[in-house]
Amino acid sequence: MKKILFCFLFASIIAIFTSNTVMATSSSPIHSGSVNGKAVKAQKGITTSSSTWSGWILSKTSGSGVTIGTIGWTYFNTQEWCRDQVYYQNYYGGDADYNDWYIKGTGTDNIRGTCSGHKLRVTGKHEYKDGGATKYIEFAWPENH
Amino acid sequence: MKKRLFIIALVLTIFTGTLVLYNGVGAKATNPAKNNSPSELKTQADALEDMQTLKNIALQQISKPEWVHFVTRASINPEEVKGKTYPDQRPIPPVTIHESWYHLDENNQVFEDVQFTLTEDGEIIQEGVTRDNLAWNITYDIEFPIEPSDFVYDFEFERTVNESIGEGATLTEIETVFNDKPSRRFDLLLQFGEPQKLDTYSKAESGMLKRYYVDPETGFVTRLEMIVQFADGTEQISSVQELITLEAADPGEEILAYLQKEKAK
Repeated sequence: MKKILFCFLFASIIAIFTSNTVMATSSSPIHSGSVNGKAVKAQKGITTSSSTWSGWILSKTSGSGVTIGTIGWTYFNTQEWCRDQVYYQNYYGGDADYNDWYIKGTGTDNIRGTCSGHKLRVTGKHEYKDGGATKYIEFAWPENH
Repeated sequence: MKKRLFIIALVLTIFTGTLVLYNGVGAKATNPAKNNSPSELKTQADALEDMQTLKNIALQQISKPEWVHFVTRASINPEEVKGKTYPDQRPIPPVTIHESWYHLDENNQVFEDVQFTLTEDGEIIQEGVTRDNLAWNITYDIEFPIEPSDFVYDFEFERTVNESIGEGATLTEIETVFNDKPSRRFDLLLQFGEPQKLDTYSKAESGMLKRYYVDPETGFVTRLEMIVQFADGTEQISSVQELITLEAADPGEEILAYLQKEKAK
């Protein structure tokens, strides 16, 4: 029986090493604020392989026990930069969850730029509403991930 | 009984391994280069060796501390770029010209630049300048710190090949003619382990073929075609990038004046 298990394990390892795409992930620092006395956090990041990438945006509170009325974003962009030029941009409109503590959005595309100083970035405007108060955390500038 | 189970497991193992390996080799079998080939298709080992040789030829001409004028033309599939905008909401046109003046240091890194993105008719879409480790997109008035970066003259040919082969891609080469000139065409085919659903397409993407044309005289990559392959067996050209100008040149006063531009406080 052990030999059989070993064979299956061996086949699985071969499959993993020969067919899986290598993904790399990096993220921005977590930025904090508060709405109606409740702490909120904002973060963005990217996941890349050699030909595709995804940019993500994340809005959350301090934990699952702390919900707020509306949590989400007004917009976010996934951008490809070539040093000081914006080479390509995907725009994503707003999204939100209600009476929740966490929401994450992801945009995916092929990697298009092949230039000096090529960078993948996410910009966006996080939105939090609770008890009649509103808090925005916006990053319209290219923060490194 | 145990012996029979062992034999079945062994057969399954070999079958699985063969399927997985076929996935990679299948790239060669579906390589369009084979159909259009006016000469023999080279193996991956030979293609990698030729890539290095051509790179050395190219570097002899551009690895000096000086100003380089680098102009490329990018064409994106109109269906893919439809509705896409720059940060000022201006539509991204299917064809853009990217004109860069790069100041290279002794390590072949860009430490200063003046860059423009233009329409095909020469209208400026964006202008930007990098000096003193600060990149400033003048059009959108965005400024941020930046480090010197490698001068990418080859549409990231070498880096992409090395990275993709690590992910199971295959590289082949063929001698061909492009724009009435002898050219080397390298096909880099990456087939994904699992089809990926990207926002850009309604169908799942199963792989990407990157086709590089290299001028054997200069070693410069003159054209890159990105061809998306879908899980249903169809494919489409996603984008084409072409080299227009790559030469050491004096930027002139008008370009150098950008380095002195003051950002409004």
